[in-house]
Amino acid sequence: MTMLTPNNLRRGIDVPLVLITYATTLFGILMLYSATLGDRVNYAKSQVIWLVIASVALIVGSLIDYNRYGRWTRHLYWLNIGLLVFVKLKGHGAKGAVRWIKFGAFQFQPSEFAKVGLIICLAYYLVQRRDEIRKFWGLVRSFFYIAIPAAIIVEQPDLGTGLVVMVVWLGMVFVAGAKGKHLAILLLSVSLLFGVAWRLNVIKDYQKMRVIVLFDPEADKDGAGYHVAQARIAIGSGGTWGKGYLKSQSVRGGFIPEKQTDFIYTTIGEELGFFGGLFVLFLYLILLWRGGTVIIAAYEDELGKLMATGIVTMLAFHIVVNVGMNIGIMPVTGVPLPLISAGGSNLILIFFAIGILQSIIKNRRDLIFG
Amino acid sequence: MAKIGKNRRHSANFKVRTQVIAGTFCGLFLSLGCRLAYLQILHGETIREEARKGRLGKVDMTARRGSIYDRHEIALATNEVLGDVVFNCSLIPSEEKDGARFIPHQKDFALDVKYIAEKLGVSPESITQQITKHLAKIAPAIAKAKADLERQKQANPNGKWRSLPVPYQLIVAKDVAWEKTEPIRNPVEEVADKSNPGALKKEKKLLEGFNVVEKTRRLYAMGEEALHVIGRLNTPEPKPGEQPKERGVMGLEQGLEEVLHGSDGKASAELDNLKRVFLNTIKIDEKHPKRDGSNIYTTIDQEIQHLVMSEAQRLQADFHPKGVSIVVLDPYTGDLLGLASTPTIDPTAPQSGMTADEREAALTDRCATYLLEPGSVLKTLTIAAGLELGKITPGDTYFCSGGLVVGNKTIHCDAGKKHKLLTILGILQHSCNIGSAQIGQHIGGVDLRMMFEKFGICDNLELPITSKRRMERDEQGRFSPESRRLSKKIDQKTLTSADLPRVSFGHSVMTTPIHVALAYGAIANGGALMKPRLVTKIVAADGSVTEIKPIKVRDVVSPKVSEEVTEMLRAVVSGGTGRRSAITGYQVAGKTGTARKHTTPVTYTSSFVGFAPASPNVKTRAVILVMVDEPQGVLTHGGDVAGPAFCKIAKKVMEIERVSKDDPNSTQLAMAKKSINNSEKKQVARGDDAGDDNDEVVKPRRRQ
Repeated sequence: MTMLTPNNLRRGIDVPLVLITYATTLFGILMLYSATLGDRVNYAKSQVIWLVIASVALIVGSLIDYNRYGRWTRHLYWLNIGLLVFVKLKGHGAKGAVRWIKFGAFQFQPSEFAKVGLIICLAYYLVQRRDEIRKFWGLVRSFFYIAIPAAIIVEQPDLGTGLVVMVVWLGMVFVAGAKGKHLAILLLSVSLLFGVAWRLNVIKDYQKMRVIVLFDPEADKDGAGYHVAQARIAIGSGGTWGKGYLKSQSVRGGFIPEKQTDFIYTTIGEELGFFGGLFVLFLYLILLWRGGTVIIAAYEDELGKLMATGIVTMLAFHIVVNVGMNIGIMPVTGVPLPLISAGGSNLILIFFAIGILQSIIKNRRDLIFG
Repeated sequence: MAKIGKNRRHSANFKVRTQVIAGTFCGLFLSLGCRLAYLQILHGETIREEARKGRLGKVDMTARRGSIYDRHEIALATNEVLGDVVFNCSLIPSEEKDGARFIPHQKDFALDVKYIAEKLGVSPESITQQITKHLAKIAPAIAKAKADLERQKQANPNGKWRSLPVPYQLIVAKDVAWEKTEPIRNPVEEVADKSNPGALKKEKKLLEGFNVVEKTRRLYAMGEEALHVIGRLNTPEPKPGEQPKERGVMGLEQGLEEVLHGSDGKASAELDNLKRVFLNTIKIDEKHPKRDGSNIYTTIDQEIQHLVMSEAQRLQADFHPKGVSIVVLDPYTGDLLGLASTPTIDPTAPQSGMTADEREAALTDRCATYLLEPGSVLKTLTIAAGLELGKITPGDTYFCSGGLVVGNKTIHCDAGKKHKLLTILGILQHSCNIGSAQIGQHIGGVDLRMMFEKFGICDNLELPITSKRRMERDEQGRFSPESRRLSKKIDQKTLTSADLPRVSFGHSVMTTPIHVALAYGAIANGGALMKPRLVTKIVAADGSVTEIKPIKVRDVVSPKVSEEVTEMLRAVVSGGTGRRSAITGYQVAGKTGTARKHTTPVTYTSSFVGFAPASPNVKTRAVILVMVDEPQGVLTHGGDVAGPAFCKIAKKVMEIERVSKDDPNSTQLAMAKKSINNSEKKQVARGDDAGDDNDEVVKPRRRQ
């Protein structure tokens, strides 16, 4: 790691955070190999390539001083919105959703980029309006600052990423000091609006179905409930110790759709059982704990603190929603499992985010030396 | 200071807030862990069992049907494995159905089609056209299923919805040879080897949506030539809820259906989403294991069968009879070497273009189950019976006045001929009805019936072949329904005075060609009636062999009588009605038959039964019977219609069997030719063109 610490860096990087990141990703590649064994495309191979590219993103992220993003935030914000609108107009999609922009052979998912981009933007926004956020209308303003790009993402339709962005906003404004009372009022009114939207059918039928099947997976066994019912069967049949690596039947039998992305956790559950599943949660807990130490270390640096909070919240929410939907306690929203799900955009952006955490560790401003 | 204090307050606040967030996520993680424990530890076993049961499906355990071979182990009926290449059209996204679960990459799909087309030798466009057509065809079904699903959702938004079945499966190519489907079942493509630049390596390819469905087809090596012996398969309309099953009809296929079919097993296995069996999950139902059918080895000789069938078809073409039966058997073993029965059809051809009568005629086996009055060929048996019982001696003479009054009816010799004084040999040579009738009367009803029964005329053949026209038999194994009127006469304890004379020359008694051939076999082999044998061994799938040995039923006549009768029959060929049946190099014994049927206009059953080689102390190799049912045209006599056919068959069979010549100088043939010349001269002199039967063809020789 010496190469990452040139003389101009004041502090070292967080080595355990890097190690746990790589450990989780390599474990993920093993699981991808198993999940897509015998398929037309084995995602383990491409994931290795993505890991190499993501490593570069990690280095770049940790080398750039996070304080330097400041002057670009306005552009970054509009770039995000521009990309999201562009994908809406010109993008490529599958299964009714348009989420990708094609660059030759590569596909790029702006909503993944938006997640990290908006964290940076929101962090600056909140630092600049440090006192405003404690007032109700200031909070509402920050809500709309994020809700606009989130709405475009939801419109893709990608409810999951939209939710991630909103939860990240919630975590960041909370840490930034928004009043609990104000938050409660805002969330209540949003919920009310959501209720109206449900009634007026603004929310798509298939999205409603995903919430319905959460409570009754039998409701639509061949449609939205199919994912939930099959994932439950796969993970449940894994039992305490699992069926063994490469020995899954539900996954290998083609019963699990999107087994290499959103439902990769079923392979872990079926093949490695309860303890395998717990092991993955344990890996994530270490990752989040290391992320938490970054937040704590930067408690005197408003910007670093908020950025780290955004990144850690994003990761944590991803994990909870993804694992939750795999085991049937969260609705099926296309949220990938960080570091494990196949997909380049996601892996690169998460590595970049981990890089930002490293940058915060190195470059954070302490009050005393500020 | 105020600012610092504010900051302190903030930092305390920050601590609490980070703790809240950390606590929230710890709680969420804990709930994930709990849910995992609930699913996997508490309910793991039940869910695993539920999953297994949900995936459980039936596995095809259809037993392989046994093959049928000829006596040189040449396959006559075998199975051909074929494959249908099918495509699951649900993989093509269409407007009618949204949310197809698997969508193949468009580019890969085009490559897959190209690959399949190349392997099947068709153009890729034809396959895509088929798919497009099929999608258009099933579009209403998809729309209907979708509308139905919508209706269910409207009616019961939170209930369980069931989608209607849509026939997505399309057969892209039907009946493809199994070997040809190999590259589709295990697709391999050549890709550039990265570790070895320039070289190609084979890599497993995935064909999304394409599959091969295995099936078998029965292959009949001899086709229509062995229909009545081998039989054919038919798929009857299945009972509701049952799979259609092929079943043997006619011939050995039906007679040995259970042996050939084996028994289908029952098994279950876990199936994947594409209904493929997971490895190591097949569970065989112990009570219903799969047992493949046994292979049947028959006595049929492919070459002889072909020979007799082509001869039968020639007769069919020349004389336009209702049917022709030809039997070739080995007199010492009862082995049926060839069984011809015409008209016939290809066993695999559809019978749609035929009238019911044509169908009936083609599906009728005329060797083992077709009953008819054999006529004069039975005179041999009457005479053998008389000799055996000591009622007559070869030197006895009878007087034929042209008519014999029996009760209130008069029996005539054919065309009212008067043979005058005839020896026993003369009666055979001229086929004299009156003579035979007198011998019959001499023997007496009880004894003649007993002797005919000894010759097996009414025995149950117990052959494992059945035909369209099935003969019901009563408890005693005798034919009953169709033939009751006639056959009951021989079944009665004694023959009445009216029937006795007729029975003595083969009328008023019904039997099948094989029965007659077997009775002649008893004369040819020194007096033993053999059981007919069609199957020599049955080899089960596990390799166990059941051999079926030749069975002697009983001794009918003494070797001495057998030899005496054989000598007379040789004389029939050298200078009697059978002289057109003499062959080069061998002595032939035989008898013609021209049975007048009770029809208007008058029709006949023309036959010839004989065997060769027939010299004393030479082992007879084949009994050959040719029977032509109702030949049309001028020639109707057995010697003219069936005789030449017998002659051809006998010659060929001797050749096929590599029988050493017993009459290298062809003395019998020479005598027969001379006899024909003599009678032609006589005919010209007399201006008589009547049939041979009642001509003074040869001077009766006294044998003493």
